[in-house]
Amino acid sequence: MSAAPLPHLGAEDFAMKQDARKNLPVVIDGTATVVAPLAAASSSEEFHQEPPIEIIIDSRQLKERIIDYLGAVLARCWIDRTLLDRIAINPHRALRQLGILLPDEIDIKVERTNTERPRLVIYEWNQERSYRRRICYLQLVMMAGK
Amino acid sequence: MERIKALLFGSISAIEIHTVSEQSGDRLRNGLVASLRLLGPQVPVSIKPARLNVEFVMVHYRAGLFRPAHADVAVLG
Repeated sequence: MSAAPLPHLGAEDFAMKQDARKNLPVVIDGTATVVAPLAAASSSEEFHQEPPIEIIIDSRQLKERIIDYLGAVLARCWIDRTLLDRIAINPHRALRQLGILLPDEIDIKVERTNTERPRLVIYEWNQERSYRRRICYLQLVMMAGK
Repeated sequence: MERIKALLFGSISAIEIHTVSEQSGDRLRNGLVASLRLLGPQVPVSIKPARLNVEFVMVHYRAGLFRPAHADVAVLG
């Protein structure tokens, strides 16, 4: 019984599939189109959408550097109002989109005492991730004139 | 009185000015230093390059008995 060509495949594609079933080497000419799997294509696109990592905050130099960078992030929240919501939902992801890679042991929570003065609270997890220590917080005060 | 207040609620440990141009940072620092001199405390004021396309001043506070270490961020407009 011979298999009929499938409607979505061309005659050449069908012949190639038939040869592959026989476990024989398949000759692909230069004009053949190779369609990548959909999932692989979407993940690749997503990867390319990420900006390059410009800042990696190492946990050893955490205290010295993290406050500097998060100060800039918090100041940026004044201009980009959606940024604070994005940090509240997924801080690592939001900062990664700004080109900042935070270590896993660092967690950031957004606190809003009122709508005008949001806070970024910085926590550090222990090695077993059973306890997190509050390092400090940064608070957006206002807009100041130069 | 100031020392008790600092012990309870913390005190300013440093001020950082994050600006794009060094000149505007210098002007701001001179103003800040002059104001702080009138008030009394000796606080180091430094200028750093701005990141993420935003200029801001960050005031660092030491931890007090009732207040943890923190920083206030004021965006420069």
